[in-house]
Amino acid sequence: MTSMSGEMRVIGVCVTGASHKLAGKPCQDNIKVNRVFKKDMTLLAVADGHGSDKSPFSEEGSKIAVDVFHTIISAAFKKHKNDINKLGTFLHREGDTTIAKEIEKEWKSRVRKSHRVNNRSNDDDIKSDFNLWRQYGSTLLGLLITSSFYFAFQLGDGDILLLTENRAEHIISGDKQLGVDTHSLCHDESWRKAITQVRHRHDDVTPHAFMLTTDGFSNSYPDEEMFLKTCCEYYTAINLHGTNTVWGRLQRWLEETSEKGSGDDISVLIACDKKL
Amino acid sequence: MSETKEFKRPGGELSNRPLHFIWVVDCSGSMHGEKIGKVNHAIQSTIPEMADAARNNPYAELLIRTLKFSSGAQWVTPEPVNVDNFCWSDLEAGGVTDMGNAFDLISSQLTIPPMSDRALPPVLVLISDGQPTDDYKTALDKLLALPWGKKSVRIAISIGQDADVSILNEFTGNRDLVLQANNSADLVKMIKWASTAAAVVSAPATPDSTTVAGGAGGSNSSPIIFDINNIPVPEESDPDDINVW
Repeated sequence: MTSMSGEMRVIGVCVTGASHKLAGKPCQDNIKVNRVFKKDMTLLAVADGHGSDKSPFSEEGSKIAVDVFHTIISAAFKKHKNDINKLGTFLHREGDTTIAKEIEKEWKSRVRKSHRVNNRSNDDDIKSDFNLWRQYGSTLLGLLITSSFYFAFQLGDGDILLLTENRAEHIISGDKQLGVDTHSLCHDESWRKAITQVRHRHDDVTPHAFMLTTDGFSNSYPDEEMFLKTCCEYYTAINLHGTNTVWGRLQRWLEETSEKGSGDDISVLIACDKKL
Repeated sequence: MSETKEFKRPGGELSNRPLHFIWVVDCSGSMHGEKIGKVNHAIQSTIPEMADAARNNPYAELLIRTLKFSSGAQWVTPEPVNVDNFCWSDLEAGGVTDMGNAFDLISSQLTIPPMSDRALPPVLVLISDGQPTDDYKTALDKLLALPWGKKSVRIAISIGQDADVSILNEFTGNRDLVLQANNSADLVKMIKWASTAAAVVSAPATPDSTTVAGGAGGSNSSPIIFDINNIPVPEESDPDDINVW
């Protein structure tokens, strides 16, 4: 089997997009990192709130999204904590159905509750549930890393990548939509647009890292090639200088990326295997 | 390298998101005279305003091109040009109305590549006063089947009473985005309004309670939203007036 660890060193940051700063808007992204099972599993989530005028509470929507991912995956883990391989099998089989449905249901339940508790109801909400969900609209990327496998979840735009020396590859080839559109938790039956992937981790893999990014990052590069090259260079920087050094500069780098690139909020989480 | 020594941000060249705006102008014989003259003048006068509006969103790069069609179709601007460097070249009219040919040329530019999948939805503004003389239908279907064709924001300006509005409706996919210009004042007004589409696309999150969607998005899309209160209404005109087209 494997002697790999699911415990990763994780660095990450959300930066407010340059265009949002210009408009006086807050960052609508959120990230969350957790270690579970005696720290031998790492859970990561990144969410990108829509930020449009129709989604005034999307910052909260993205916060709820990352929390929900952690809740649902932790619950799945508890059910299978005595056999990690069964958890992998379950996520492989049910990730884009049962898990995705639970995430959508829980996100909408928490959104409704928050809306009520904060007395935000208005005429629009009454017209349709969608009008309510849309006010909190968000994407969601999630990753569970265990000693033997990793499980990736994607609903909406953004990127989940595996980084090794000289190579960055998408773990999930999302059905990226062109322009300014994205799949979102706020849509009806949004679970149907969730894409998941379970992959085994092997001993012989060179030191590697995982990277989760909101689309403000990839949209700051002219094409896919330049984007993947950049992700490789982040890996190289960590390999050469260590996670702490990169972490200390990450915010400034991403602010520069937004400023000279898409202008959008950018969130990045990088989970590094201990060999790095 | 020591811990304290600065090193550059990893990664390569950064880029704003390109926003392609294409003027597609009917230069057939029926446009000869005042019509093409007004088109030339109106578009030329909107360029500085488009450049000003583009400065409000420095994170989108507004790239403009002109495509003319009459007997055949041709790019007047061979490559997309940043709005700050764009100069309008006056067009002349003569020939037939090979609109399908124009759609084919647009299609060839909306594939990926040369279009980037990171671009903002392209804006296509079609100005015509007549009926296609070639097989426009096949070419239009091909254009609208392209991923960027579907996502494009399409506006048409119908000049005078002879333009085939049904074809322009097919092009825009939205009757509200076919603007009628029955005289030179209308035409200037419509061209100015169409030119503002670039600003709407680069800042799409400004919906109003009375809105109309541009382009043909899917069920999960968030279409570009125009404020219908701002769409200009053609002036009422007397058909006997010699200034009415």
